Amino acid sequence: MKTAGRTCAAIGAVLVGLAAFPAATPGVRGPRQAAAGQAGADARALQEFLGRVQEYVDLHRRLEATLPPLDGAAEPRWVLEHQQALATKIRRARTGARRGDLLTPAVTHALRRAIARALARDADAREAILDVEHNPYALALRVHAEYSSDWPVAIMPPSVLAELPELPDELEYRFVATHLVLRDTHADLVADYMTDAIR
Amino acid sequence: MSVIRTASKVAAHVTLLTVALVLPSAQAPVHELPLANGSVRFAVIGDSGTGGRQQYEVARRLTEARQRFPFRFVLMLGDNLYGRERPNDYIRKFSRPYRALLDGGVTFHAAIGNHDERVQRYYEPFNMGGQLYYSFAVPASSPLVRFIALDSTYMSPSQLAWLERTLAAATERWKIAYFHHPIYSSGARHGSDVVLRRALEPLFVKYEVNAALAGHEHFYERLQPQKGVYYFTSGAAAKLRRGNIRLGPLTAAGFDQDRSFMLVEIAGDTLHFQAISRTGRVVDAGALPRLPGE
Repeated sequence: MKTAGRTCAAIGAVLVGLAAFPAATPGVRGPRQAAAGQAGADARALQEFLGRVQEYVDLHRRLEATLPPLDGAAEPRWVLEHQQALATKIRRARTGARRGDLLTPAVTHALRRAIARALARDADAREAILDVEHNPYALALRVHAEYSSDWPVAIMPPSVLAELPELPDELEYRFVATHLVLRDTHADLVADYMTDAIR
Repeated sequence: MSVIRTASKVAAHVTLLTVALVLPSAQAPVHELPLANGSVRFAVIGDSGTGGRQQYEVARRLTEARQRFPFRFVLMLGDNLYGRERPNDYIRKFSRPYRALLDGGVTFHAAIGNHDERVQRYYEPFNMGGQLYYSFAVPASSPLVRFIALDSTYMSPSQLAWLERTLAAATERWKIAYFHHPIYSSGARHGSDVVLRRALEPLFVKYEVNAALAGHEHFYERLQPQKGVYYFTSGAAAKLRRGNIRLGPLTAAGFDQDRSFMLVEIAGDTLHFQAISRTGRVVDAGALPRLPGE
């Protein structure tokens, strides 16, 4: 279980920058003030993002609690049945879910900047993300699509994960080519996605 | 207390009976596994889950090996199931090829690879306890070895924090980490995962992890010890990238001409090992002393 404390620390890292900037001269917005403003906007967007994520996860947990627990699943069909049943329940409960419900435009901008910061500090991370054993552009991304086991995952670099808001266990970030997917790890479906997360 | 181990100290302490094998005709002098009283004995397979003929052949070789070296468990280094993961795939790619071992009471302990679905953690025969990263100590009565399975595909701050807590609390004489992506590798296709290395190696050194096992590269390689840690790649239990090792300063021994697996015995302060090919040939073997901290 990832604590709220760890997540708040990630948001706080963005907010720290605000304290370092001097008060703005009224009507004058220099580079530092602009950056501070951007950092503040990003922090607010990511805070809202975590709220939406929590709503999704709360729904996920309510629905999963209606299924038999998977602990000690000796039969592989139990694992698959659980996964499929949960995915069906989520799709039904989120009928009309669209791309951007979790990854709103403000969130995608903030995440894009966070990823860029991570890649600027870790030059090897981009190569690691794009080192995949399949043609990622053959994947059709859409909300509630199955995140197929035919899609070998790219490694999520620790340096990038350290920049992103921490997610509950039920969700994870995954890159598909240069796009970023929010993957439901229990139901194995795409909860949301953003394109061109890496530029 | 500093735990920095210099290359010269490593060289002074390592005793090996092995020959680097890249030519298929070479035969390593066989270092016999001692079958010492109270030792921890296990096998290692990586990138195994194809359901293909070669996987079954390696599995038979593993079963034969157990006749002379009765190991109790097998570490799986990820890519446990390739392609679809329907119920029949679990059977065809895991429980059927290893049926003789499973029926003989051998347990499997899996790490997650880049081809694996996350839900494998719930599959009881993988003994992951519902977790993507976990640890266990062997033997239960008086633990000699702490095994730490990691999810190298998603090295989150939470996992790193868990790893540090686990290593700090470990009291076993041996600590062995296993995961999918090698942080040291001479493979032409992938090579060393340096982004992972930056996160893991400081912890391995700080807390005196003795050995790390990885797959992902479809060959066998024993690396030169790095900062006091022994590294092995064993990713050819079914998949193979023939000729993929780029010989260089990292390689202590390598085999990329056929599928392979490992047998390991930890007895006291020594790690004994054999790497065995699909045809039953010992392609690397040796005894590695537990390296002391400073």
